[in-house]
Parts: sequence; C-alpha cells; structure tokens
Amino acid sequence: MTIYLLNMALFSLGLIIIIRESNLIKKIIGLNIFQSSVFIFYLLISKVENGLPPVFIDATSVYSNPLPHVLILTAIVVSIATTSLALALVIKIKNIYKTIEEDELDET
Amino acid sequence: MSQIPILIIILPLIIVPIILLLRNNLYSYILSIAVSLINLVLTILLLQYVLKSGNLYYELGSWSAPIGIRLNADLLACYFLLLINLMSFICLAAGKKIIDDTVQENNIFLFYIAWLLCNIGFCGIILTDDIFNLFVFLEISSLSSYFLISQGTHKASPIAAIQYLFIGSIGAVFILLAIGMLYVNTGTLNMTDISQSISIGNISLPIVLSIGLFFVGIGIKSALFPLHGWLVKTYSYAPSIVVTYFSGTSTKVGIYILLRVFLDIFHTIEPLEYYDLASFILFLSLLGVFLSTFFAIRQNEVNKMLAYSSIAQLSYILIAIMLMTPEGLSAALIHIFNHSIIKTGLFLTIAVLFVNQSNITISDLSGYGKNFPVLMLSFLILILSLIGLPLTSGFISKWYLVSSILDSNVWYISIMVLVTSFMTVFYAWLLIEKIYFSDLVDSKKYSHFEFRYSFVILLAIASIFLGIDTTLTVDLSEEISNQFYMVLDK
Repeated sequence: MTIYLLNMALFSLGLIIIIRESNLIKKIIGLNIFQSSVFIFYLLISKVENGLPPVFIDATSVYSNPLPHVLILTAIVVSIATTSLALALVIKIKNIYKTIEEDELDET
Repeated sequence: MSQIPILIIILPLIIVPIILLLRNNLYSYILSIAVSLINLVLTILLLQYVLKSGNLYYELGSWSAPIGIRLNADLLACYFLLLINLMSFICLAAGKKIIDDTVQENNIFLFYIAWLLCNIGFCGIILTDDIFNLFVFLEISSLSSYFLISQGTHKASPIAAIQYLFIGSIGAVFILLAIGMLYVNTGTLNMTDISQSISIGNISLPIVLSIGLFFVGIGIKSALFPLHGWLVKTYSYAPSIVVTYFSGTSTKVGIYILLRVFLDIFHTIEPLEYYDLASFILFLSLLGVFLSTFFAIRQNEVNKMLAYSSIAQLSYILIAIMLMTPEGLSAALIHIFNHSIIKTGLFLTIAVLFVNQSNITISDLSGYGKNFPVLMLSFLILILSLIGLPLTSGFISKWYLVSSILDSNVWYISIMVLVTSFMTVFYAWLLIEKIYFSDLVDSKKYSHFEFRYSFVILLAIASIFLGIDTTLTVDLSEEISNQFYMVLDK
C-alpha cells in the first residue's frame, strides 16, 4: 500500500510542476515525472505475490502478469515522442521570442 | 467487405512512409487527397453494409476477441467515421493553395504526413474495440495535431501548440491511468468484455477512480466548459485550414469517446446517473453556453468569435446527451453532424478569403458582400443556420434539442437554450452588418471566382439540404440512439 501512496505522491508532484512552473523545460520535466508515475502504476499492478518473472519454466509456477509491461512499453514510446516534440517546439519558441519563461511569453 | 474497417486505418498508414520517401510537395498532395477520397468511399460502403446487416467485427490477425484486438464497426462508429472522413476530404480538396501559402516550403510534405496521421488517429479511436488501442490512437492524433497547430503563420502558433501539448498530455495520462484502473478491476482490455464484467453489485474503488479520471481526461479532449481554454488559443493561432479541419472533427471525437466510455463500457452501472455526473455536466454545460456566447459577442477577431461559438455549440451537444433519454442522444448526434458542417463552412470561408493572414478582425470583412456575392451568400446561409433559422440544418438540430429537453424532467432548461440561441443573433449580426452594410476598406480586392470557393458553397448547400431532407441525420441518429438505449434497458 505504501508504494501506491508514494506513486500517488509522484503523480501529484508531476502535475504540480506542470501547472506551477513557468519555465517550459521545467514543465516538460514535470510532464515526464507525471507520465512516469502512471508507468510505475502499471508495473505495480502486474506484480503477483511470489510470482516469478514471466519466462516459461514449468506449468505449475506462478508468474507475474506480463501484459501491463507490454502495454507500458507502448506508452513509453508515446511519452518519448511527446517529449521530443515538446523540446522541438521549445527550440522554435526560443528562436522567435528569445525566452522560454511562460509569463514573459504571455506579455509579448 | 469484411476488410473495410482495417483498410480505413491501414491504407493511409501505407501512404505515409511513401510520402516521406518521395519528399515531393505535389505528389504528397495528390497521394493524400487520393487516400482521403478512398477512405470516404470505403466509409460510405461500410455504412451501407452496417445499415443492412448489423455490426461488422474485424479480428486483427484472426485472434478472437478477448485475447486478440478487434475492430468494431457499429452504426455509431460509422456515423462518426463519415463525418471525419468527409471533413478531411473537403479540407484537403479546398486547401491546396492555402497550405502552400501558409506552411513553409520544406515542411509541406511533413504537413500532409501529420494530417494523414491525425486522420488515422481519429478513425482508429472510432473503430477500435480495445480500450488501450483507443489511448494509442488518441496519442497518434494528438501528437500530429500539435505539429499541425505549430505550423501557423502567426508568431504565437508554437506557443499555442506547446500549451495544447501540456494540457492534451495531461488529459491523455488521465485516460491512461483510468484504463489501468479498469484493467485492475476486470483483467481485460476489450470494451465489450469490460462492460460485461462490471456490474452494479460490485463497484469497487478502482472503478470509481476510473470513472473520475475518464471524466477529466475526456472533458479536456472535448473542451467541456471549464476545460475549454486550449480551444480558443488553438483556433486563433493555428493555420486556418487546420482550424477548419479541427472545428468539425477533433472535439467531436472527444464526444465520441465520452459516448463510448460512459454509455457503452460503463453502461451496466450507469455512472452518469448513479453519481449524478449527468446533472453536474448539465450544469457546467449550461454555464458554458451562457458565458461562451457572451464572450463570442465581445470578440473582435473572427476566429476567436467562432471558437467561442464552437464551445457554446459543444455545450448544447453535451446538454442533449446528459438528458439521458434516447431523444436527447439523437438530438446530440444530429447537432454533431449539422454543427460540423456549419462550422467547417464558416472557418473555410475565412480560410479561403484570407489565405496568408492571421488575426482577421470583423472589420476586415467590411463590404465583402458586394465583391464576393456568391461566397458571402453561402457565408450568410451558414450563419443563419448557426442561429437556427427554419429551412436550415441548424433549425433541425435546435428543434430536436428543444423538444427533447421539453420531454425530459428538466424542461426549464429549454428557456435558457432559447435565450442563448437568441444571443447568437447578436454576434451573427455583427458579422452580417460588416459584410453587407459597410463600405469596402480595401477596394483592390478582386472578386474573381476560384475553385476553392466552391467547397464553401457546397457546404452551404449541404446545410440547406440537411434542413429540408433529414433522412441522413435524423433517421440515422434515432436508429443509433434506439440501439444504445435498447442495450441499456436489458
């Protein structure tokens, strides 16, 4: 249960960083923390008590659930794409406005 | 015939790498418009097939449902597919010159790739029967739409794109977490399977959390009233043709996800009624209609005015859905189709007239009625349709909306709907006055007719046609909502 609470703290932390920070790079870092917390959640739910890694040894052993791992692999790819696109946009903004602080961007 | 659902997704996916390898602007345009046309034809064939012989399932790799991934083309999916592919085709057909003039020369082929990927994402969301696939397709369409938005001529367009990226990603992560919660509780990702394995008796914490997370995520995607901020910014800074495309599709797809999740996946526990979510959303939407209509009147820029008007119309659609009656659902579906045609037409007029310009104010339109008589007549028809004058499609939607509200137990809302409809006249009048009763500012503007104007005229004719002959929208919508509520009653 503790680990779920810790994960929830990570989730809220990411969300707070995205909302409160004005620097766009820090916002992107916040977004990454936010997304990672959900990935960790998927890993947590796949754990089966006393479960072995999901590699077939014999039919009687208990295995952890491999499906969430596969799902989250896709989500990680999506997250990388989002991050790189966001960084590319930040470069473009920096070239146009010479700043990446959001409150300064709103004034111009 | 049974391959059509997968073809709609896979054909553009094959075209995308070809465009990337060719790196030629003209060929990429020809390929994208060809594939959109094929998609449109396939969608019509699919709709006919589904109308005749019921749901069409396609199992990917022949793995059967709970284990394999399945595409499910039911009537609701076909209805939205028709809308999406029609709008994509019209915007591409009318938008060749606009795209050439607004987007940077070396980015044009990438622009078409992003456009096709965005359309693939929308079609995938609509067709899939696997809830994790829904998330993946949602991200495909969102990521490509961030790129499309950043290509505007206005210097603030990258800012609009990155702000939409942050809010859109938060929404997507909420949906991802909601899917995880559902998976914890049911152990399956197939939508049909999930809806069978949750029942009113065993509502646990993950299900409740999942409902809440879905609500926020979908609210962001469909611009539900307090979460609508991104829409106005996006619509004012994105390239005009992208705005035209998104006005008819992206928020409508958000509403599709809402229908799928709350009326299909969760139908056994009726979350909208059980937790009083329906009255909550109804209240927010009413507030949204009032405030956004009010804001629309105060706007000076045409795009911002139309954006606020879009939020108001989306709120009407949500109000109709949240009545939780079959009549309400069919009114919402009718309005989704009609509003897409009207708004696409209005944004397209602005896009074809001011090809290389952003921040178009209302006074820029002064005197255009004399110089562009046919185009402006179409614009006028579309505006009148937005107000809901008889003989236009807007009237049909408003009629069904108000009558469905009167039939429900919250009949007093109909007064507010009528009042806000009347308020629409104010901002519509601001436009009409400038167009027809002001002198021309720039007399050099020529009135030579161009091919791309004809699509606006086509949409205006469609708007009148749907106002007189309602077989397509009304009959189909009633059929869909009857199917939905028949399932609910079981």
